[in-house]
Amino acid sequence: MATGHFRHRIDITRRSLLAAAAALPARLSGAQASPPVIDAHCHAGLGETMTAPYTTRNDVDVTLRHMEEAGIGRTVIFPLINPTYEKANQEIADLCGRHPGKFIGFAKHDPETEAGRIRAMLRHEVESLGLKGLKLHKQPTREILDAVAEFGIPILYHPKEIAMFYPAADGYPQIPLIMAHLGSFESMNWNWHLEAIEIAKKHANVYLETSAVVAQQFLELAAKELGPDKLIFGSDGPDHDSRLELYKVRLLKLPAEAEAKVLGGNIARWLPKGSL
Amino acid sequence: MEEAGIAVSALVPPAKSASEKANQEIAAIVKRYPEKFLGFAIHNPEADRGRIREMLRHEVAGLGLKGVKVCRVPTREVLTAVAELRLPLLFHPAEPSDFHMIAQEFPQVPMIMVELGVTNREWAAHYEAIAIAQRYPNVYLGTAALSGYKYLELAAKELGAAKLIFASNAPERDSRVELRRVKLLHLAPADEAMVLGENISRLLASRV
Repeated sequence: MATGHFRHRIDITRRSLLAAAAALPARLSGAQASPPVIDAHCHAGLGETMTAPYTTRNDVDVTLRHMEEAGIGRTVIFPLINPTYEKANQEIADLCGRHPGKFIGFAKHDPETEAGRIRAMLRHEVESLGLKGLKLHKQPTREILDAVAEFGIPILYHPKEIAMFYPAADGYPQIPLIMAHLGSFESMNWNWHLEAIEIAKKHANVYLETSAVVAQQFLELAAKELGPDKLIFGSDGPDHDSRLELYKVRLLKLPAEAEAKVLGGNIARWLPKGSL
Repeated sequence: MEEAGIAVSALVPPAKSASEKANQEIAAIVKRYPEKFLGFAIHNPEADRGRIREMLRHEVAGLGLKGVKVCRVPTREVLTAVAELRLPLLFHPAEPSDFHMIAQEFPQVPMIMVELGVTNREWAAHYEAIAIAQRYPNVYLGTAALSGYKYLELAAKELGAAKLIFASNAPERDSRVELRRVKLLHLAPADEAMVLGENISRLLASRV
């Protein structure tokens, strides 16, 4: 493995040099710097229940290593699945503070186990802890959506079924709603990718996030039918490798301007001021 | 293939095909592009029962196919014929544990477990697949790892390059992405060459 590590390091060096060289003309001409590559979907911290990888632990050192190798400037991090999220959200804020300029923290909440307390919690997390958005696995209640609308943050939501997206998309057009996994984690239900594309077409506030789509043809279809304004790059790291997930977006071979939107420009528009 | 620099792909009929017709079709495609493809026959152990040896002999000797793919646990009839013709077996199991009995009974048949053992997207199956590959010298793992890239890294670390075989499951999955998966392991060049072709070439070369 010694040889492998050596090659790895040379790669990074060469890549950083290339990146620095590529950035040079823009700096010299004083042109507006484009946003960094932003990975919009990544888990971090400790899980309470330890029943599966996604409830146990995600190490930010792995994420940081992948970011550096792939040239990802910022990563949106949020907790693993937990019964409640007070502690886990605090941990996210701590990780953001410990690695300045690397992470954008999102809170996570459970609409059922935390019902009644969500506005107060989210207010603290946004105003005091500096978290910039909300990640959801369960269908958002009115309580959640009202609070999110009040604080002006985006939601990244992985719905159990595509239909669960409609109430929020229809009822809260002011909230940017990002659908994780192009609607279907690991393309388990490939037809959901098609439904997700339709929802994004119909709703100005709905975006599709690219992580863990294993059937590349649906990423291609989404890019073709929706255009670059509706797609947001995410990895579902660190268990899904952001180096590979970024490569999948690059393979779409979008024009540079369109690719920059997918890789950071689109989400940057919806993040609260001071996120980058 | 061209874009990624993949020289040869093993073509397998779609799952659940009627084997006779599907295998003929694969053979016809291979014949049209002999330098790009090699063909694997597909068989359904139940539907083809009683005829497998005869069919497989024809597919190998007559049609030039080089291996066998099954989607159900292969019966003794299937494995006896596969062993006789010294073919590699590609098997997409419902559970990784489907490999225990067949790997014990037919240690002379090289068996490749595709997708690092996962069909139902359960992460735990990857751990089981790695343990099974560790236990049986004749079991290899295909690299198209579904539930998280880290399991392929784990397999490379625990098993070494000799037990891994690059397999994309294209065109549903993108062979460019699947090749990238292997490259990202940053293996030493000799190890990477094993995963990307030498291992499977060796298994194919043992054919009668």
